[in-house]
Amino acid sequence: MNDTATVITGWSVVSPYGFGSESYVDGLLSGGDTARPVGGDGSALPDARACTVPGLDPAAILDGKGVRHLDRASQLALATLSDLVDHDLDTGERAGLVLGTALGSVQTEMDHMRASLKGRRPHLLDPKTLASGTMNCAAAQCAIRFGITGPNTTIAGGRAAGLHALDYAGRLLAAGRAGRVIAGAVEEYTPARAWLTHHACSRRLERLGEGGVLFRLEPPGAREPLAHVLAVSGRVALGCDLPAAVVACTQDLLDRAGVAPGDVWAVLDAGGSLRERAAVAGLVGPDALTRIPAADGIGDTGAASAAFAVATALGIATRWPEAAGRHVLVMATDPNGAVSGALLRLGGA
Amino acid sequence: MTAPVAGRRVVVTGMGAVSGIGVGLREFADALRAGRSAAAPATSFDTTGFPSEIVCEVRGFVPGDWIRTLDPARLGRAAQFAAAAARMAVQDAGLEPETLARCRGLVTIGTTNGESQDVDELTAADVREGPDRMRPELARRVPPQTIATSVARELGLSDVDARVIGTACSAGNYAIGEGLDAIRLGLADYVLCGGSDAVSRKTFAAFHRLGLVAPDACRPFDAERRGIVTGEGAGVLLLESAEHAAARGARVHAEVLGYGLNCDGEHPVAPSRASVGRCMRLALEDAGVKPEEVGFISAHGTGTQLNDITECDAIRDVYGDRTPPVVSLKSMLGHTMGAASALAAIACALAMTEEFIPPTINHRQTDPACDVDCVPNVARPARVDVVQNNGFAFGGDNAVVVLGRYGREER
Repeated sequence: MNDTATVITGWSVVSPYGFGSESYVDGLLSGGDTARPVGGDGSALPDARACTVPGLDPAAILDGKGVRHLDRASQLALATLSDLVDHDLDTGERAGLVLGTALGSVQTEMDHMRASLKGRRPHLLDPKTLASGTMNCAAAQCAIRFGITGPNTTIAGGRAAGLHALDYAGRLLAAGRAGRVIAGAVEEYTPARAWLTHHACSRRLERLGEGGVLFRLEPPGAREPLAHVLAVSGRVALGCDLPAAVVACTQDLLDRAGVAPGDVWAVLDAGGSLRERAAVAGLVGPDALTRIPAADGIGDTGAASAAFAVATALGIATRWPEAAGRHVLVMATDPNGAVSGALLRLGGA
Repeated sequence: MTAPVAGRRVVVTGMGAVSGIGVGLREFADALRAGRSAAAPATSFDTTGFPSEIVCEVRGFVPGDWIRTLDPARLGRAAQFAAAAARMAVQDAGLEPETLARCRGLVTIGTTNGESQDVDELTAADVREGPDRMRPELARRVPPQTIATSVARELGLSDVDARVIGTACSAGNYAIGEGLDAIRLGLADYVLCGGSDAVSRKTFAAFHRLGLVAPDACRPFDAERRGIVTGEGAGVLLLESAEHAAARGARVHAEVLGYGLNCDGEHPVAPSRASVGRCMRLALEDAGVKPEEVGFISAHGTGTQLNDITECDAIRDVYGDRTPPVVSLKSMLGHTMGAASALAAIACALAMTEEFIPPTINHRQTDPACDVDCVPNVARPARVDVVQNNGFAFGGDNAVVVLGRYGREER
């Protein structure tokens, strides 16, 4: 079965290191820790520190009403998109946008419920926040503010949400439903996410992070590719056997792309356990797992984790000549049993 | 424009419905024909102080009747609905889950609010006792993707992509469209696609705040329509290629002829007539169908002032004076959000095989500004070959699916 070949021809990042891909790659290579004190506004949080994006002021980036009232994920998505969008290429009816999320608009949803329980009347919610109350708000805002009027899709996919977005976007291109698609993922640091993650993970070692990552995807041929997306695939682990599912997913990716395990130059693992990493190492060799530095300094970026891993690979390719033409495997797993992977071939060979 | 990609033909061979008017395909079909209403006072949450108390809940649903592998008590309500509907769809297709497990699949489920009742309960715990008192088991199942992974785990399907489409109230059609492309392009052997949502206080409050909730009943296209009634449920369809279905002698409910996706890119809440019309044209073009071949339109039909006029105007822009009957399932089911266009697609398929057009109930007098034949109140016997199923969402995310009677002609 041949996968639909697509290429990445542009990318942008808003990360705890700052705005833009250059600051991300600089931060990644320096390995600096971005954790900052949180809760300064008095909100109760389970964390003293988190890897938040400094100086996010979407009104400074975007004109227009209502940006300040949007949820933080939408603001991060707009800030990321504003750095990537090419008004000739990425807008109009043939341009699509696919955005990955993990918890959707849970902060706004909880704010609404809180207002319903505590307000004078149970339905007197803040009208300015109603548009942020559904998961598709960020993607729709991107379409509205930049005029991207082709397919507009929001995908809930956990840590691998960015890989689901790449996969889905590739199908839109293969089916001819769009000529270019911007796809990626966004994650916010909010009290709702912090508490839900705190309760969901009994032993959380990593600090929470946030950010936005977007890629421009096109059919091959139009522009010099930064990377080829050779295959994207997912599985669901049954009986909690994540390592077995990781191995099966990796094998599937290699088979589809026709790449030998020994030809995987680097593996970027977006939040897997030691057992899962060992399982992949058993297949492609241990060196691949340590070839590229992991972006530990930005913390657990949730829905954007796998998208950040892809960004890491693209960033390394801009700095390390030996990365040109290499195969990179990105893997992500989630406690609900979802396993996803993507196999890329970096450009510049 | 790019021509539609030629590929494998895609058929629906299994369907499962969990709805306020019936649980299971037979009950659902009979209720559609009878024009039943799911509207009743809410039991899932306290409506004290709200301007109304009517919602369209699923009643008499026993999760354990359908969910066997997983412990239903450990699933949120949306995941329960989806897993049950998926189990029904696989049974209806005459397939054993073990057979599917040997093939490459896709599980793609649309939702607007995910496990909204769990989010409400977590918030209530926060308000009552503080955020450190949230229940961990609820926090763990709140990520919406868990709806899709629960479907896969319940049916023992490992070799699947499992994801949730979060494109609000058109998400069910998005999922069906994604399924169509996956089979057409040869990327999956089978697809379980559809939508699921549960009623919740938060959703009820938000639609009330927007002034879009009808106090008594949803009356699409009616001169006195007052808005939506929030609802819940799940619809799941099993898709496979026509060759695969024929090879195993499967009964085919319908062919998925095509779909269209676009985004208004204009307003967070108000729909665009031109953009909605463009989405319908994209779907008809993808399906290779001319407007005059369409036997009826299953409208998004929310029963709000703005949606119904905009949608009817857009339909007339595309269909002109040959506009077929335009019905709204939401009159019976309420607005089941992410499940809405999935349940409506199932209704469209049943309408073709059982030869009737489902009615728009609660109807008194058609709004002259809508001016459509909405098949008021009583189902109409009719042999229909092609149906267009509309789904629109806040944010301007439009998805239109076109279904056809399988073998209606040699195409």
